[in-house]
Amino acid sequence: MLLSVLLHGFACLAGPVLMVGMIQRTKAVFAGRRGPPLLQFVSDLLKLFRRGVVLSRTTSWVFLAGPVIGLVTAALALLLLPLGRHAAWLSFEGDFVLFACALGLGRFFTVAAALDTGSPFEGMGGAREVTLGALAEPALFMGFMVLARATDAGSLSDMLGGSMTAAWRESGASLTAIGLSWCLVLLAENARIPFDDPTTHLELTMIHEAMILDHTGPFLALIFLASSLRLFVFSLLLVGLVVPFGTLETPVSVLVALAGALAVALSIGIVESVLARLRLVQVPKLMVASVLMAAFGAVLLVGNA
Amino acid sequence: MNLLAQVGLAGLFIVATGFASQCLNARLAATVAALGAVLGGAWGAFAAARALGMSAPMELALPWAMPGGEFVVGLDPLSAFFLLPVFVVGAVCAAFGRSYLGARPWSAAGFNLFIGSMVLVLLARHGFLFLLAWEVMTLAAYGLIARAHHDAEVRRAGWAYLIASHVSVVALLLCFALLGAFLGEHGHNSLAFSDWAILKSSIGASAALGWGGMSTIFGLALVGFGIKAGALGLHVWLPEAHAAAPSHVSAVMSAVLIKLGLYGLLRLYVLLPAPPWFGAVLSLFGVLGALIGIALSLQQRDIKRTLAYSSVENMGIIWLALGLGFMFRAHGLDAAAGVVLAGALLHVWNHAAMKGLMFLGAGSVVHAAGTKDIERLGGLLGKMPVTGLALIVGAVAIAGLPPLNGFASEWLVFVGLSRVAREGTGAVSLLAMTAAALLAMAGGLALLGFVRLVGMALLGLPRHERTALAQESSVGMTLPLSVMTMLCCAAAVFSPRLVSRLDSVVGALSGAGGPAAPAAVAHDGAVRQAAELLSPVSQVSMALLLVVGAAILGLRQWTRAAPRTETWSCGYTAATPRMQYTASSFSEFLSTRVLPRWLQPLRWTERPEGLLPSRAQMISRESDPVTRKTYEPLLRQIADRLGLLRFFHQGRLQMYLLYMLVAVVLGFGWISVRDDAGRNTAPLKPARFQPAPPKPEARPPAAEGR
Repeated sequence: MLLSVLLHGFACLAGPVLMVGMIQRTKAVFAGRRGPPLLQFVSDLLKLFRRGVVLSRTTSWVFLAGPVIGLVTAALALLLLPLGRHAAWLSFEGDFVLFACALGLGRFFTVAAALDTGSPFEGMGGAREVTLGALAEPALFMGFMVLARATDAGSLSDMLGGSMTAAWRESGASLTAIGLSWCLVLLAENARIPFDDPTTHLELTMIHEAMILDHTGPFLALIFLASSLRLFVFSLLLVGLVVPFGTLETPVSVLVALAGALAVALSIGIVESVLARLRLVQVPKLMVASVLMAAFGAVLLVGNA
Repeated sequence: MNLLAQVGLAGLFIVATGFASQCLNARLAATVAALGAVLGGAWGAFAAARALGMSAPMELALPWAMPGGEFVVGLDPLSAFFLLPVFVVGAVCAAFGRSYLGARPWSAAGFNLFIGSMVLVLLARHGFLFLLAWEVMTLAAYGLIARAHHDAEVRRAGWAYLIASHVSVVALLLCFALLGAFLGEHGHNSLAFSDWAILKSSIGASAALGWGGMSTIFGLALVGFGIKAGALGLHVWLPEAHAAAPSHVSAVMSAVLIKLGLYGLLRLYVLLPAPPWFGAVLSLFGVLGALIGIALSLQQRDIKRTLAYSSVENMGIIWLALGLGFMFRAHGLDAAAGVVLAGALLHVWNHAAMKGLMFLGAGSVVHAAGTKDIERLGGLLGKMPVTGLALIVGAVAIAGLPPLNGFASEWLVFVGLSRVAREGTGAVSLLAMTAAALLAMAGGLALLGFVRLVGMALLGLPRHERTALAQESSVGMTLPLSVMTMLCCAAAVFSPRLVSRLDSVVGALSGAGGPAAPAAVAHDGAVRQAAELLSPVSQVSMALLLVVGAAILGLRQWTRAAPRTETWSCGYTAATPRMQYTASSFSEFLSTRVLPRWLQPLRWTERPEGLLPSRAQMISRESDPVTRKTYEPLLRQIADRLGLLRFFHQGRLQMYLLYMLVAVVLGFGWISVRDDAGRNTAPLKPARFQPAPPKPEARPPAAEGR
């Protein structure tokens, strides 16, 4: 028990960092470079935390609230997620709604902070972010509903824990559809190719990066930390859905989940290396596709019974 | 003193102070009227809160001179549930209105009358009295909406409201008349609500009315009450009137008035056996209202129209949840249905608090900046800290995000839906899943709409010179705003307690609906369960509020000395406020790429052409698609046809008197002919000023057997 708790804590601390490093490394290998060390992200964060803050004259307290609430909500989402068969720190019926809405709160204040600068680029990024967010939400909720029925569970820990094995045996087709839909949600919510290019250098084409142009030093570090947490959280969601932990020992399953998250990072790296970013006007269509995929999952599940 | 008397006297006190204060000078009169509303509101709110837990409904019949009418008032948990927001929001808005409008004693008196008439609507237990109070409420609201009638826009809005409201009254009149006529045939020649219950208690009576009769009555009620409740398609008056009315009146209208439409429907649902389609139609209206309402809301330029369409959305959420709750109960999923119903009812309260807050906040902004156009606002948070904070809290609440109260109620609905998704049979489960996804979509769009409102109105730089001069409103406005802000936070933290107060209301709704249902079906402790379910959410809410609040305060202190510079504009150094993203541009991506064309604003563009383009322009105008596509062509056609009747418009008093005389003679002629035919044997009403006995109708026993 104690071992699982320790492993869970370790995974929550190490997972986000390792995922970022993993993606960078994968992309470097594809590009024929050696790439930065796996823990480069930590050094970047430490460097940013040591730097001073410069604020825009236009901004108010909302500008400070953006990074803080972004981090707090991402951490809350992480607290709600089980790791392997180890239950989440916070678990109650309907916690998946809190999970989705907490991330929504983070988005609200990230966008509000962007608008607080009065910069047209940040407004542009914010508008895109909330539009895509509104389209990702139904896919996420439909998926949760399908999971709730497939596993007959009310909380994330019960859904994604051991009961998924039996669910895959009974309704694999619909869970596959949800998995595909959530892959798209993961890429969209974390501003990844093909939705957004995290390394782009043209503000006009950015989504997520455009919103943080004015954040400096520690605030930028908070934002990077929050987005790595979000990436980890969504990967865990996908891993919990896809990997049947069955009757694995709890500590082992925690490690398996961590490995799963790293595998997700690897695939994100591969996707980013072989695909190009879509034109912005095509992006909503892909989001609609993910919603429809989730709807297929629901119909398959209900028709199955 | 019993609770019914307390509530009634509180309402009477509010109205009486409004009119009695007119003998004072203008400043004093307005203050006394507002004070009366605050005191009466506080009194009424306490009484209503206690009445929520009452076990047996109270009724009181008073003598009344109206032929065919009886003055029957009553109080039960369902009334108390709606009375509470009437008193609370009414009191806060009255205080706000005193500073917002200044010394306008007649407006203050009208406002008090408006509150009082809503109290009477909720207390009335007789069709006649109900309609009378309903009409007074409608007219009082009209007087308040059309206050600034020198403005053509306001006159138009008032007109739209008046027409819509009277279509609603006509529908209700028909609905009540049909019921009365039917009951008359069955020997209950009365419009008293207590007599309507016969349709439920005696299977014979409901069978005689049949499916068609019940459908007609509920259809008329849906139209009549739906117009007030802003059901999609019948909502056309709502954005107009809310934008035109003074802000504290818009706040009351949005927070309470439109809820009374809902009250009417629920009252009928409790009293009468509802047709089986009722839940489905309710949820259909609801889902359309939620999605289309918010899609229109996020494209408006007028801050108050944005809020008004958001009311359509929130009413849609409530309708959807209620309709689904009724449907799930019909499928035997009582526990889950109870959770959904509790969520819907909690959302009624929450929406009253947060929409009251938002409209008052918008009023404060409009007062300070002198414009309702979001694209001229901006940068107000620094200048108006209290108003700004209130609007941000309200926006987070309305977008259904934690840690505020809007989340608590939507969360309950989602949890209820997830239970149905787990337990229901195929189609019902799929219905719940779809509803959850659509609600989530509406939530995502609401996030867009309200981050846009906050971002454009409060953040960034002022987009207009007038806005740059804005200052924080006086204490008379910021204090009510702070009270509403506190209410929203408290409603989130204490949501389990609020839900547990809903026990008897959910019980009343759960026992209702089906033909000849027993008075109180056990609702399986669903409400207590919902309250327990909510407690972790409320704890997380409280923790979030504290952590985030402390972190922001700390960081503000820490960055006080941080160097300040220009916003980074990617190397461009001469950025001006006019280069900021505007409200229209913020919603443009969604509007043009995701929404269907008929939901988009009308746009006329003249593109720059040629090598040396000379001129280019783009005009866009937000117009309600329902008005534009259906009502405008329809009404124009009707107006054309009615041109034939213009002959009767002589413009001379004598002619009109003649018309009246002819109408009266024809009316009496018809009655006497009918009486001669001997068809009408029902006894007339008791004579004037007779004290009514407890059961004043002398029921002809002979009629029972027919």
